[in-house]
Amino acid sequence: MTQASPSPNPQDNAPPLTTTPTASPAHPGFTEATRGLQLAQIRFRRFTMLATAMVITMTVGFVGLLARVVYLQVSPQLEISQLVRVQQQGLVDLAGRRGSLLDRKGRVVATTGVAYRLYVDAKIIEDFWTFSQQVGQHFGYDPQWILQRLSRQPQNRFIVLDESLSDERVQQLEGFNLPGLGWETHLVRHYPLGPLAGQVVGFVGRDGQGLEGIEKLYESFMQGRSGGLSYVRAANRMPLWIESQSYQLPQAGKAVQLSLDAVVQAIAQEQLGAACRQYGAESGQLIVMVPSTGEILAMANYPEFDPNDLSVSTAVRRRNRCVTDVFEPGSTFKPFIWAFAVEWGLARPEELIDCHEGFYVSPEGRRLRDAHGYGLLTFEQVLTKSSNIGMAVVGQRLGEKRLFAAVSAMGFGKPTNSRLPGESPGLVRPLAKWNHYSETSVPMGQEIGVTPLQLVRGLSILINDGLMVTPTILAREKEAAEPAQDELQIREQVVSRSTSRILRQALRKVVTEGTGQNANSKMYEVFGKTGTAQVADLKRGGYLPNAYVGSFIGGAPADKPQIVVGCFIHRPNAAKGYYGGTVAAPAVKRVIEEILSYMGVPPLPEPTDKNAQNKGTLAIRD
Amino acid sequence: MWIEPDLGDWSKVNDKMRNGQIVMLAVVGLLSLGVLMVHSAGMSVEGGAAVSQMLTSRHFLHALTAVLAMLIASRLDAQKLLMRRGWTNPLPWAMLIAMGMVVAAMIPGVGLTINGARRWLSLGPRSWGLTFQPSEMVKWLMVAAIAAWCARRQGMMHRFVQGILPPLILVGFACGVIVIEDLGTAMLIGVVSVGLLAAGGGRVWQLGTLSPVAAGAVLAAIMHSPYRLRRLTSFMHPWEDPQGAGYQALQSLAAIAQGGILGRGLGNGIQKYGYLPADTSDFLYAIICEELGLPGAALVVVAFLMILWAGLAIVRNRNDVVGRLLGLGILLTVGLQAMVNLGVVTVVLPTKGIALPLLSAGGTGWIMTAAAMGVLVSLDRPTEEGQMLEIHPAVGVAPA
Repeated sequence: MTQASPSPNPQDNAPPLTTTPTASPAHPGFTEATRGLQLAQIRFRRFTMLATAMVITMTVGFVGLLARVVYLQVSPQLEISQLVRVQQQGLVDLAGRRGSLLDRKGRVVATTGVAYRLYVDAKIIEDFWTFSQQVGQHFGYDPQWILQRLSRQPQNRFIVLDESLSDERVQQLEGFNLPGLGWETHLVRHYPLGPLAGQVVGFVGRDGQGLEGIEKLYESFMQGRSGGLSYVRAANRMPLWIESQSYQLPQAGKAVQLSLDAVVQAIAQEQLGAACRQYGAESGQLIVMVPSTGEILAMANYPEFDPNDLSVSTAVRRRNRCVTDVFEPGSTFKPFIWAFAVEWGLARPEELIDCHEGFYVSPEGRRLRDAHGYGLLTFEQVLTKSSNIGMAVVGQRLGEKRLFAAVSAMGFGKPTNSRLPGESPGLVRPLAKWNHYSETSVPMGQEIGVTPLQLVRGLSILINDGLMVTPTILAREKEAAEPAQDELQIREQVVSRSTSRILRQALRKVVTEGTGQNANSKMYEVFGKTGTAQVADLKRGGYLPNAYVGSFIGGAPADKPQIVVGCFIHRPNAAKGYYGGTVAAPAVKRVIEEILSYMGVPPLPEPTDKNAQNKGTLAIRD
Repeated sequence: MWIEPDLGDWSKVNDKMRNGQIVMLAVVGLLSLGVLMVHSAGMSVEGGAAVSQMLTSRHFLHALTAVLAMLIASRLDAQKLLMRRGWTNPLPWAMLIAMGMVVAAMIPGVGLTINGARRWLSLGPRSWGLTFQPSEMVKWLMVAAIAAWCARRQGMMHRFVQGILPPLILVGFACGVIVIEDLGTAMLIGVVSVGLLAAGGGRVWQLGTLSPVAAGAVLAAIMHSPYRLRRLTSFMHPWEDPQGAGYQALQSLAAIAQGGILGRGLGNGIQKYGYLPADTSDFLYAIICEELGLPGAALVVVAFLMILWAGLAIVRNRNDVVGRLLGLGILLTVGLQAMVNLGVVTVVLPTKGIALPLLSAGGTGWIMTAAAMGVLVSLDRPTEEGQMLEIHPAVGVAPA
């Protein structure tokens, strides 16, 4: 190898390393060896350069990747954050228990408990038929019914088979594991008293929100505040742990204590139902009220409605017609006008009124008839015999304005402020629309629409020393939903105490001598007024044939009334009887007897004298 | 980073072992982190590998074996072993066996199919959990083979036919077989081999001319296999199918994002509970990011950079061709593999079956990589004076 040989390697053409001290032409062999050494050194230097470059490149790569990591940590894509949230966060709702409804003695009327709900995830069931058979046989459902429901919605992941499993079925859940079948607990509203005061209590919707009645009225008070928690879950949806500070306690709603007494309510419903059934009535209402406080002890509607069984009821049945429905009261309205005529000195109870032998034509030419014709009656007898003509005559003395004032003072034409949902104000036409007919119609309870509650409240005012009272469904004495501010109010004196006393005497005579003798009780001094009204034909005007409302409003005992009862029988079978004294008065008598016994009001002593029978007077007690 | 300033000064005992020790420290550190994180990532609702049994688990055993393998390998004299002449050189035999196993792994019944790829062989009974990829063995053997070849043919490597062509044929053949089941490893072997040939004296332009051929081969491999194509498209548009093809990439991003800078804390990750597939193996780095945040992520990178730069110092201190190339090949392999894995986890690269060296669960992977690190450490010793002049006789210059 000589220096002349062409070098294939361009590196070999590099300028000779002048720094190499051993390069000497005097020793060619050694020079060649030195040259090889030089080439090796050049190759090593190239290697070092390349190796260092590679490591630097990799270092840059690593630093870049780390920067990428930091970027991903600090500002990840929004979609990534959402993805994480959706897939990892599980939420648990903890329902706040709804407050209970209690009657005035603390009996549970409505309460909320835990129920098991059985549902099916149709999507993951392989064979509907096998599944239906297994579930049907195990729990005792009709397999065909399950199969139908599954086939109808084969993609539905939440088909509820049973909202509230029976206790036996809950026990059968133990150890029964079938893919697609699931159960969960949820809160359900339960009405242990069933149809007792069903229309008053109302009901709740599927999510536990009050829809009707008291449930709706005190919704904000009774509703619980639901809490919840969020947890982290694994990909298979199993919960891993609860996220810190995500646990919010649910809050139970507060209980509401009603003025209703379940026993009184049961008595009322029983007697109302019996009367309605006996006379084939379409519907009926019965209200029991404490006249001094306005507390409603019972509010019964026939036909009955059980809030536990919403599905089998109609909207009409669910309505609390004691406050929602307006009817022409007829003769039960007479005491109100009578009292004001006495109050204003326009008629005295013992004053004789000419009743025109049952047929009368008013100065304006209106023809009036009485069921029984009378000649001269005292004004008191006008009430006890329920003479339309007598009332019309006195009504003309009052005139439109005073009649209107009397009607307004008794609270007709306005809601009673009972706050019961759907309460109607009644129908009292404005004075401007009254005519000469009104003077004779209104005193006998026509041309006017009232609710059963308005009548009962009106009577409560008249017989309780004329003191205004506001009906309430809440218990007054105990801690109630809202502090009873009404009690602090100074109560309006609607009529004087003496008028009230005179009216009580007159109403007592209705029962002892007049149209209401069916209400006369041996146990308590019942007073009251019958009423038989025709049902107005809303379509054609006038009245429907053979359609009546037989009613009785009254109370007991006459000297110090403890309760006021109103009973209204709508459209009884006219062939069986329709007079208020026939269809409603006996029911009121029995209700009063049972309720006052229950309340511990001492009954009258057994009559010793046969003549004293049916002849009770105010002074008979000692 | 620390660079040995004086290339000639390798005789001082105190300095001599330092680079090797740095490498070993980094390796032990990575393995420890690996055992810890594999157990953390292995947590599942069903139970799985209990963290409390970490020190008696097979992962811990594998890590201990890996450290042992590193210590043994660091005692070898790789240079002597690889430069043996004739039939006693173990390299050709080992290469033959490894290639045979690569082929065997592809035979149904012999090879194991994991995650849809048939590239594993079982070592001992299945219950040991020792599976390994023969392609991994080829990966390391190819480094040794090219290093040995370049040492033998030093001075001729600039020639195409006598220099780089024979090793390129070997690489092409090996990659051609491996690419059938494992594109990632094949590409890694190819890139490392080309880099090594360049460092070993090969002309860059000659090697560069081959790049269209290599690119064509890669493209053909991708187009040929539908799942590779799917991976590629899903990498570019992960949101098109977030529950399917794009799932893994999105879950990896979610893991990193959830951890944030500080991380959720060791063991507190969520993505490992069934969300992120391959959380203990290929996507372990995502779990490290989720639980340990930036400190954990940076720790891993720093450990690899320690290996790279300490390794570079070792390599530069060598004065023999085979030692230098062997060391550089090991560095390139470990470094590039780690980078590819990090690239996949951070969704810079499409999903590949490439593990994170010394971290991703896999007993044989840890043991082989640690052994390779041991070889690197073994290079951190003075070469005998004469070896520097070890020049192939074909060049015509013999040591005096």
